[in-house]
Amino acid sequence: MKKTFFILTVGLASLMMSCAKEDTTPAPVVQTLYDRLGGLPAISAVVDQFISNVAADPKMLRTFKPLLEDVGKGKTGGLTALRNNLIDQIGEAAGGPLRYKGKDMVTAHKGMNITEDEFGALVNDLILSLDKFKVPATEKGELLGVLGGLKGQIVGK
Amino acid sequence: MNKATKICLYSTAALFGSFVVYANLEPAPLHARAVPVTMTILRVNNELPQTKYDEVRRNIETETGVTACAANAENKIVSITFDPEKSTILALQEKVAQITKSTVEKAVFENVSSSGPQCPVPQEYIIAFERVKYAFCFR
Repeated sequence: MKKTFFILTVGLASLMMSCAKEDTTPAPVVQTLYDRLGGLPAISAVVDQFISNVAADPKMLRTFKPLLEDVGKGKTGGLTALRNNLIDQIGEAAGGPLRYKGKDMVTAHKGMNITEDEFGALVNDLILSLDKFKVPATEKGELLGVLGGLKGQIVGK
Repeated sequence: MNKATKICLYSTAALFGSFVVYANLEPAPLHARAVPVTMTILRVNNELPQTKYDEVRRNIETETGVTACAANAENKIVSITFDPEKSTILALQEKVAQITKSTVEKAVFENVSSSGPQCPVPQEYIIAFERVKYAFCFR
């Protein structure tokens, strides 16, 4: 009886150990879009280029007029806030470690009456920025997909 | 140390302590870890082809402290984002003037109508407060 109990215990222990061994096998590491883009330095570089593109784009003049007007007067607070929000938002959307804490898109764009054309021009400015840094097609598509998903919350509000 | 001084000292210490606790309630956002930049938007006073603006962009991008530049012949605008600790608006303005061989001034957009929500508190104040807050955030 004792012998049978001993054999069963040893058998069960080895089974558990083999199971435990299987559990410790490292799972394949899935890199987030944030990592694949290059993290914060890459995102801030893309955002800086995007903001510059927007400021030089005549189609964006009406939408960003208050910010651009302030920059002309040497007050860059509004633009800095926009940059900060874009970095946070793209960082979160790309699966980065920190959360965007700004306004939701509907509240942020309320009363601006952004048209389809203006939204299209904005997306184009982002594409130019991504192309400048040679962001691969997959990552570019994923990022633009995130922005495209927000269109309904931005246009016509 | 008299009583009034003690009260002031303890109140200041309590306020500072509370501010540090408040700053650490949640981790600092991503942008707090990025290099701060500022922007200038310049208008070139001569008619020039887009190729010349492309040349301006290429040259300005190589300047120390410049993080991005865009230049558009359609509205004669050169917009530059840069690290204010490494470059100045004046230096960049002179550089653009030198390349374009034209007078260059800060762009003004006053004749464009726009609508939308405007924060009553100047953003500069909010950003300055945020910077102090994140300076005391250790998370």
